[in-house]
Amino acid sequence: MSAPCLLDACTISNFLRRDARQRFPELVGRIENIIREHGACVSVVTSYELRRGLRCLELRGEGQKRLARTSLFLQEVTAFGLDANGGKGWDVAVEIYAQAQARTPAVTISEGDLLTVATAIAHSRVLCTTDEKLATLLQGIGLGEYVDFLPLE
Amino acid sequence: MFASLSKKRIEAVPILLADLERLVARLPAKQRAALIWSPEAVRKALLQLHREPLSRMAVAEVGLEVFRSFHRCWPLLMEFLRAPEVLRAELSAAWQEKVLLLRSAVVDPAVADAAEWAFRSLSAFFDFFLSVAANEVMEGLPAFDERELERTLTEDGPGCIFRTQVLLMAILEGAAGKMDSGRAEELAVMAFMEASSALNALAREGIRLDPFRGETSEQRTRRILRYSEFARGSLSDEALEVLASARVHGLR
Repeated sequence: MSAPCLLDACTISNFLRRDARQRFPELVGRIENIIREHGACVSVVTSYELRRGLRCLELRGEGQKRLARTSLFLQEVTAFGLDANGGKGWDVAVEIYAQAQARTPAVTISEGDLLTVATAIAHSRVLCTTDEKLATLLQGIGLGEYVDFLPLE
Repeated sequence: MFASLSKKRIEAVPILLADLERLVARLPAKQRAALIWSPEAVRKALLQLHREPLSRMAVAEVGLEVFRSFHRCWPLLMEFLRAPEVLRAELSAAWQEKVLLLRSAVVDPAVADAAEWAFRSLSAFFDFFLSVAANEVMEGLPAFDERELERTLTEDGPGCIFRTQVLLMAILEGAAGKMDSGRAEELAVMAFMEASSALNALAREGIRLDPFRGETSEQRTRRILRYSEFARGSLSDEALEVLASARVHGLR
């Protein structure tokens, strides 16, 4: 049984690729197992990223039927916030940011990734990502136990 | 709009035109004659959605006619709400029939799921509404304010749930007839979008409704995995690029 986790936006995007089953069969299998065991869970930041992406597609004239198919799935995804337990997610984000900045040389994490991993840690979950750079970066600042890198190949 | 109420448990199902007609038909002739409503006017309004360009405004206009008629039937609905045991079994069966009819109106299985999702959301909403407002509902006929209804039908928030009801009624009204399945799918997709907006708006108020309340975790997993397959087939590489470019990098 895998540890409870949050899926980040690039993982969801890769999972939803039209050819994902052919190109990334192991990834699809892993994520389906995660959904079976723990449901489909993301950070509010990821939810925000996906929702604004869909809205952009809508404004570009993407068909409503296509959007509904994706929204149907996203409607069932559980989003975890930063505000629970007195804003614990924000406190974790503060600490990660400060610790990363205190390194020599300082390590910079994008705000989206920072808040996403902070959400996972605040909810005692692991962040599942297909972004190797992010996984390496988080391992480099001592957060290896909170990240699960899912290789595409 | 809703039915089946008991002291122990409240269950609600969206009431459709055929349900109202069936209820009216059971009234004694004198009561029936006193009821001023026109199912044909409602049907005619709903049929507009089968052929005219679809927009929120068009749905709102049809909704005005639908809810005006429903309001006239309010005393009748209250009567049946007071004696729910008479209708409980029938409505329960009707609920399943409606879901099946709704699904049969569209060809695409993803859109059928979206339509069912919308229908269950509407049902969950009425269930919730009755659980918190049952006493007020039973107390009597709320004043009918056409301008207020018109405003509600065109706005976000509560307006979404009313439009969901109208859109689902339009599909069901056409499902047994000759409605084009393409139009049925358009109506179903719009109903899903409206229903998901309504549930998201309620969630922001701290009210989380589960359209699939009572399903087992296995059923839920199967459903989510089925939805993920639908989503997987729907986005082009270009669309996925747009999603990727919507990632949050900095907050400045």
